[in-house]
Amino acid sequence: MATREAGKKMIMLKSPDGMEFEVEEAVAMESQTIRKMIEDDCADTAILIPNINSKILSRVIEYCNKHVPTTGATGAAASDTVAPAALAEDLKIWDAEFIKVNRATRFDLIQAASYLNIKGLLDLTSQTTIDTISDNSLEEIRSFLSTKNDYLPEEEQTIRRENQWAFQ
Amino acid sequence: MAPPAVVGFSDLPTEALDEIARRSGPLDNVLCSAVCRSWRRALRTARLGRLQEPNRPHSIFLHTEAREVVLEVSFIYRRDYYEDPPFGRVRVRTVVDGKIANYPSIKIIGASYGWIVVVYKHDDGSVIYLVDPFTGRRFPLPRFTDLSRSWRQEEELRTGLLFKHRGMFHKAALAPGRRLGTYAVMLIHSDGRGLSFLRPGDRSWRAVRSPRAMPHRYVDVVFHKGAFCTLSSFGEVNAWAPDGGGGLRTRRLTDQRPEQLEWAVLAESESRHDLLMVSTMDRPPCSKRRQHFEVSRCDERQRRWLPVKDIGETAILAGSQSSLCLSTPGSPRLAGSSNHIYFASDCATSNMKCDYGNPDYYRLPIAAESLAGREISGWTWFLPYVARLDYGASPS
Repeated sequence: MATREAGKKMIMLKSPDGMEFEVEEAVAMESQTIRKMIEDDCADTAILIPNINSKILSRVIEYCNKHVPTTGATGAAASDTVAPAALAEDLKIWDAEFIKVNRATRFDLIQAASYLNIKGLLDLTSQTTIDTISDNSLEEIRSFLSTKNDYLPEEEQTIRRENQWAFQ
Repeated sequence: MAPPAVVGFSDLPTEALDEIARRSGPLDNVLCSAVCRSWRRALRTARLGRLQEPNRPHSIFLHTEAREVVLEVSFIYRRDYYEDPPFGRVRVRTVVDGKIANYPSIKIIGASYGWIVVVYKHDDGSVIYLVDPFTGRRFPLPRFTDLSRSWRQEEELRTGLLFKHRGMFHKAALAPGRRLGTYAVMLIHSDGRGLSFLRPGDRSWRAVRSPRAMPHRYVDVVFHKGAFCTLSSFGEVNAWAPDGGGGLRTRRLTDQRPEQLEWAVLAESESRHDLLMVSTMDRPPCSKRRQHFEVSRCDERQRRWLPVKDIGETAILAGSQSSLCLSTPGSPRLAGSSNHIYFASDCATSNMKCDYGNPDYYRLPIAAESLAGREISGWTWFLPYVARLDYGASPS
């Protein structure tokens, strides 16, 4: 692989279910949380990523790998030759494919993006979620998100009364 | 291998839930907050975190500067000292529009649910937007074309005066719609003679017919207890609620008073249970003369306004674009302002002293003593909307 050149610092990420992922430092630093750990020098050996299983972590790494040259924290020179607009378009298509996952996986990805503080991934996952519920009514949103209505009947009634247009 | 953690929507981190809600469009908070408790709590926590002091009222100033439309949001401070005061300092400066070709007249005509309603008057007509003062996000409302012929003629006669005092667009109030990202708007226009309604999701305005031929004007509208409440210059209040068939049903809450009010605004009480009115019968005073203000409470059963002599631990921020009732124990910065009314400069009192971002106040006469109301220049009262957690519970 072209990116695996000598001299590139590698970081080991560990998921709680025991899987280990070796990634380039630049890729790992797409996550602001990991970046901070590296910068604070508390990442000599493997970094344990709590709460994120190997399946989700591998997808997150896949995302970071794809996005690392364009955000260009390090080694951005390679991407200078490609027209930025074309590259952005390419990424958009890739993102759209990437996010074609089931609801549970998407929530897992949101949680991972939020914990690891990966802005692009958080943007992508939140936008996709809101796109699915935009222009929907309360009941539809509840069923889409498979959340339970945990309001007491009288609370629900007040909410409805105060917002008649919202619930007519 | 450990089984993959199952994450439900409700278990998502606070920041992520807020991140999702923020993308939904205007009035997002209302419907998203109603979905489930954890989302309500998350929206609240995230927004409380982002706003240093969410319960604290802000004032907003909108102006154009170097081809940009700029919103300046400041905290309200109480004016106690004359030495270099900390009030009026700009805390958030948002560029709403960075590419304006000319200098449109801009005016704020309402503030509700954390959004402000702004009118841009260009050469080729007016555009109304909802603007989020903290992010600059904006959403255009359908073009307002419902002008009566007579008004248009009148408008031509008064060109240049439109954005003074009442003008073409007087006041707008918002209400959340049934579908996420939609909203209803009630608009007072044509110098208070016209009332128009935008149904959630609609692309055009509908003229609202007055209950009967009204010789007077609409002076204010607020959303209260699930209905838009309009106030006429004779103190009559009508509540407009959806009739279930897409139209509006009206109910009179108070009857007309014999005398016309010189200036009046509506405000929902801090508990949200009552509708209050701040009004004056006096004309704007010439210098030194003091204007008398009254506060009254809408009594639906007697269908009239009952005078309130003492508003207790409440301060009212009164303004033609928005009026707020705030609990003074609940807002530490307003401590000591109980029983006070603060005015924004748009109030009819044009000869009063003006201070940038500096609310001066009017203390309600507890006895018959009267004091002057003061004002600030060009600012609109604004309260960031943060969902309450005590929905449904009776106020403590």
